[in-house]
This record gives sequence, structure tokens and C-alpha cells, in this order.
Amino acid sequence: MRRSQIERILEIIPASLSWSIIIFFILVVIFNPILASLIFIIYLLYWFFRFLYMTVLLVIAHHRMISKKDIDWLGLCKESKTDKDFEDIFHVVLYTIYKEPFSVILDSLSSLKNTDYPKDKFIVVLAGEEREKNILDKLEKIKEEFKKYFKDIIITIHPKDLEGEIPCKGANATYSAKIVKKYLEENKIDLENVIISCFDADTCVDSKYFSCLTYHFLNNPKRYRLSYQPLPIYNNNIYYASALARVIEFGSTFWQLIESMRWEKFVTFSSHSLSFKTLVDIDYWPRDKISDDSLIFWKAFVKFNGDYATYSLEVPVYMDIAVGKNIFDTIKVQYKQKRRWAWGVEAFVYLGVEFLNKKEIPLSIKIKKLLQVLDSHINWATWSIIISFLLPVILLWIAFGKKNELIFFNLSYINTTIWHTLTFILIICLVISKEFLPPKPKNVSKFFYFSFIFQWFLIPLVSALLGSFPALDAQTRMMFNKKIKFNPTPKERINLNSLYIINNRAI
Amino acid sequence: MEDNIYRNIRKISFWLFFLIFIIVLPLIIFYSLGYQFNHNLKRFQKTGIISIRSLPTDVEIYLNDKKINKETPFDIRNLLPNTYKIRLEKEGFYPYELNVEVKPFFVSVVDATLIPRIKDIEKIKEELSICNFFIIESFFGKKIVVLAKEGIFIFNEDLEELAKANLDLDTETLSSIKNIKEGKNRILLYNINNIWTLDYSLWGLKKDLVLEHIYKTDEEIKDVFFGFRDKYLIIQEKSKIVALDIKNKIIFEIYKLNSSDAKVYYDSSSDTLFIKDKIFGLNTTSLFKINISKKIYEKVSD
Repeated sequence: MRRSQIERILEIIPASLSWSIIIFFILVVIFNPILASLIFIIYLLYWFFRFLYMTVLLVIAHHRMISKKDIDWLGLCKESKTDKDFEDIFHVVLYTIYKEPFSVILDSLSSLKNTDYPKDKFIVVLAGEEREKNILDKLEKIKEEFKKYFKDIIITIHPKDLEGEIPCKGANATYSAKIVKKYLEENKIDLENVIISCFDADTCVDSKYFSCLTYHFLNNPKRYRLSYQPLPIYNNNIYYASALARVIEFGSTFWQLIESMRWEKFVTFSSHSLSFKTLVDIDYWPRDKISDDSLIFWKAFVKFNGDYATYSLEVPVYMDIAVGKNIFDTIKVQYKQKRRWAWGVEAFVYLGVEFLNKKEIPLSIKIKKLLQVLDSHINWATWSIIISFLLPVILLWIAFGKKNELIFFNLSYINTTIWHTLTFILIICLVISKEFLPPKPKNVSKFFYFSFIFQWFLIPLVSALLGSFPALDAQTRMMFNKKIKFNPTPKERINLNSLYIINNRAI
Repeated sequence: MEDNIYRNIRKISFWLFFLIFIIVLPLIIFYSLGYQFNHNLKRFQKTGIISIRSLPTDVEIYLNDKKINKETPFDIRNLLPNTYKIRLEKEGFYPYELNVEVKPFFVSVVDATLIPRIKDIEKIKEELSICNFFIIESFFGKKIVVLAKEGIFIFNEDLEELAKANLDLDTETLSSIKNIKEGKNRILLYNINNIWTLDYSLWGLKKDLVLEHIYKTDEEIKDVFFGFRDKYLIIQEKSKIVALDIKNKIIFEIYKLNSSDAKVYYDSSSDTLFIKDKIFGLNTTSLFKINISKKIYEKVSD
């Protein structure tokens, strides 16, 4: 069988399974409501315990992050006695830029400037796209403003429509990284001593991010078999985002916190770091895939015969909440962003194809990893449809049909009891999310805090709208071979407290 | 805290939840289906539920005369199949008692509305000695027509007197009144052989009404209807149907009934009579329709 045929089969599998599950639930509700009730009870219990388990992970991930907040990572780096010398380490910080406004990029570079790490070790890369008008002019202005702070700032402009590429972040990052490689070689910097961080343009790093990253890089003997994943916290524009957008992105932040505790399943997501040498070894990011951030991990996993992992860093990076012009636009923007993330199911296709020719990886590992990817994406595409739509259908049918079978009665009872019990998770979420609030700008009303508390009541609506549909949409498109475009999430920053001055001009 | 400790917490919580899930799942499934483990018999038994809802809520529940320390709404679970006596009690309300059959795997629903105990009894005019009363319902509310030795009284729902008619009927006659009907501007009363009317103006009830005797027959009056905008009475007697011109007291027969069990309905909107009666000479029953206006016109012309 040809590679393309295997790929097509693998592309069809996720959506087929997701749709089969949904159709199975619909049919069983219609034709055998008693059996449906029994299945719903099992399903609810399964999710009840899964939610409890995830809450434990959330709490310990949060504790891990908070308890290590005050560690002097830079001091630890300097004291580290390993085969690597702290002074030899360089950081390439690569920002992929496409249509992000000045304010967004400037905030990101300002955060980089404010880190505790020696700035002469930073080689900043502003990776623009030829598709964006006047990009060079924009990046030159930024370079002019910040060049004095860092060892160097390199501007790269990724040409459009290169062969073998699709318009995506991975293509831009790869193009830039190849240029940086030449730069490093010309400057006689050993690639083994370089860590590259590939950031979205809105990524504002924690002041200790690079010292924490360097410490782990120095002290981990398998440093070239690791990606380093910060905790992405979506709060840069939290005071100006709608309650709906905040809840959705807190969900993403929490999900990453939970994932960060599942080390053996943890894969890179969004902004991440890795050794430049490793990046070169695995031939950079994929240039024709939407979900380059997770596929870079899987590329390395395959390349190193399964001997590759993602290390969860204890410090966060701060990113923008995706917002639209109004509430409907926000839903649209969020939907597209989640659908793009859900396109990460292409990792299943990638692994399925690559594993065929990888005899070095044990079969059990191959099956485990394939099931891991499949399980997470199928659950994603089905759970909220089953719980938010199909379960209420049978509950309404029971209520209006005045059914007297005990199983129906107990389904309603168990459903109510479970959801009442789970409200304490909301309280935990509220407490944890409070920790992620940056200082309130003066121009933001105190009413924000009320809104911040009551936003959590939007969870059922958010789960119903954006829980499973984007994932099911992505899988269905993949099944019918309708690729999605890489839609960069629009970034908007309202910063009334400051104006940026570039070349004596306020922007 | 070292990462190993987090790893261990994670492992412990995973296995803990997994174990609880594995143990709890079959128990919940059995419980949901209605099975209950009997510790004495060491086996599962089929059970049912009595689900009690009440208006008002917070009502005390007695199961087989034993008070359970719960109030409505409440579900009594794990009941073995049997018939149970349920009593609901709340201060200020009459007790509500019923027997409920519990079937295995089913919910028996008790939806009770408790009736409040009467605290105040209002009495109609103290001086009246009442022989009979009727209630007339209309679009504008209810009227209570009281037949007393002292006269005929019409009250509203709050027992306020609206009108009164003096009369010279004895107690026996008053007690014999079978029914009262309300027309557009008069009320009629009838017993087995007589019909009376009480007139009141179009603009509302006059305070003092006049009871007028308008019809007497030797036959039994079965039913009376208003017809022709209340100008006529259509009277169903035992063997015939007659029309009575109220104003001029003219009587004429409309139809001779073949059976004493005939059933008559008068549609005042179309002035049509519907009669279920035997066909003359036969033992079969049929439904007849008579246009009264035509019949009356013929009779009046005669």
C-alpha cells in the first residue's frame, strides 16, 4: 500500500470513531432508552472521576508553579557544575510574526528585555512573512528600538509560496531557523550550546523563564532529548477581554496545567524551547502542517526512537486571549483557534505513517502513543456533545414522558448529584484563576472582579458551543480531505497606560 | 517539593480514583436498576421507589403509620415490592392518605394536594329559613339563588344580597323546585308541574323582583329551555314538547314524544331541537332535528 493511501485511511479513522460514538448514542437513545440511561450513567461516572482526577492534577500543577515562583534560577544556573558551562549557553528567541500590531510585539520584546537573564546571550529573531505588507519596515523599527539590549536582532522575511510549504507558522519558523543556523556557524557558536525558543508574537515571558530553562538544560543529562514547555497563561489582555473569552482561555490554561503533570503524555504546545542541535537533527519544524507545535515533538520522538520527552518548566509565559470585535466575532475567533488546535489530530496520521517504518520503536510504545493521541482527540470531539446535548434530550424525554422506570428516575438523580458535587471544582478554578490575574490597570473598573467571579457560570454555554464542535469539525474535514487554513488568531492589545515611542513617533 | 513527590501524588490519585470507579460502578449500576443488597439475606433484592411530591411542600410523611423524618418532596427508596400506606400530614391541612403499590424497578409517584382545614364558616342571612338553593354560573360570575320561607334571595359569591322576591309559596313547594335557569333578563324556576319566572331589567337586577307563575301542567316537566331570545320557553314534558309564549301565555304543542325516555337538547343559538326518541310504531330509536322557528311560525299563523 502506498504512503498516501495509508495516510488517507489514518485521516478517516478519528472522525469515523467520533461520529460512530455520537451516532451510537443517538440510536440507543431512540431505540432503547433504558440501555441509553444505563450507558449515560456509566459515562457520567467515568467523567465524574476523570474530572476529579484532573482537578487533582490542576491543583498540584498550580502548586508546583507557585511553590517554585521564588526560586533564584539564575543563581542555581551559575552554581551548576555540569559538563556545560552556563557562560557558554546562548538563547535564540524566535518570534513568528504575521499581522500582529506593534503593541503586541513590543510588549513581548519588553518582557524579554526585563528577564533576569544576561541579555548579551540573546539572539532575537523577528521572523516576518512576505505576505504581510510593509513587514520589513515594521520589523526594522522594532529592531532599532531593541537592538541595544540584546546580543543581536536578526530579521528574516519568509518568502511566500515556497515549494513544499503551506502558509503556516512552522514554515516561517523553519525558514528563519535555517538562517539563524548559518549565523551561529559564522559566529562560531556551538549549536550544542544554543537553546532555541519558538514563540508566538504575543508571548510575554516570565522574568525567570530563561534562567529556569537554562538551569534545566544544564542539569539534565538528556538535554538533547527534551523539549522544554512553559505553562502558557492567557492573560495579557485579560482586563479587556469579554467574560466569554476569558472563560474559554482559562480553560486552555487549566488544560495545559493539567497536561503538564502527565509527563509521559506531555507534548509541546504553542510557545516552546529546545536545543538548537536537536532542532537541526530533526530537520526543523514541519513546513506543511498546521499543528507544527505538537508535531515538532513527535518528529523528535520518531527520530530518536521514542527516546524523547517534554519537560514541563515551572515558569509561565503569558499570551493573549483571542478576542473578536464583538461577542459573536469572539466566538468565531475562538472557534477557529480551537479548530486549529484540534487539527493536532494530524499527529495520529503522522505517527501512524512514521511508525510503519520504525522498527526500532517497540510495538507496545507505538500502540500506546497512537491510542494516546486518538483517545484525547476522540474524547475532545464527543464529550460535550454527549453531555450537553444528548443527555439533556433523554432527561427531557423522561420529564415530559412521565416515565416511571426506576433507571430513568435514577439517571436524573445521578446527573443532578454529580453536577452539584462538581460545583466545588468551579470554586477551585476560581481560586486558581485569581492567581493568574496581573495587576489591575487603573482605568479598569472594580466591577471587573464581579464579572470575573460570575464568568464561571458561562462554563455550560462555553462547553456546549466550543467543547466538542471545533474538534469534530476538524476531524470531519480531515476525513473528507478538506484541509483547513492556518488562520492566525487576531491579536489586539488595548493598552491605555502607555504609548510606544519609535523613532520619536508615538505608536 | 520535588517532582517525584508530584509524580507520586499523581499516581496515588490516579489509582485511587480508578479503584473507586471500578468498585462504585457496579454498585451504582445495580442501584440505578433498582437492586438493593439485603445484608440479612446476603443477596440482592429488587426494589422500587415511592416518589412523593405535595402541594404545599414540607409535609410530614408516614409510611405504614410510621413517621419518617423527612418532608416532601421526598423519594422513599429501596422499598420491596408491596402495597404501602402513605399518609401526609401538615398543620392546617387535612391528612392525605392513600395506598401505594410498589413494583420492582419502577417509581410510584404520589402527587398530593392537601386541602386546607376550614377555619371560618360564613353563614348566610341568619333570619332566613332556607328550603332550597341553586347556583347560577355566568360570564360575570356566580349567583346564589336561595329559596327561603321569607322569599327568594339572590346573592353574589361573597353572600351579598343582590335581589329579593316576595312570594306566597309554601315550604313544600319551595322544596320541590327542581331546577333554575337563567335567561337574558329573567330567571325561571320549575318543579314537576309548575314553572315560575323572575324578571329583572336589562341593566341589572332590580332589588325587588316579582315571582310570576306562568305554567302548570298535569304531566311531569322534564326540562325547560329559553328560546327565541327568551321570549318563549321550550318545555319538555313526559309525552310532548310544548312552546310557551311567555308574554302572551300562549301554548302550543311542537312535538309528541313516542317514548317517556326521550332525550331532548335545545340549541338556542339556532333555535333547533334535537330529540332522541323512538320511531312511531317501531321499537328502534333515532335522532330527530326540528327547526323550532318554522314550527312556531306555523302554529302562530294557525
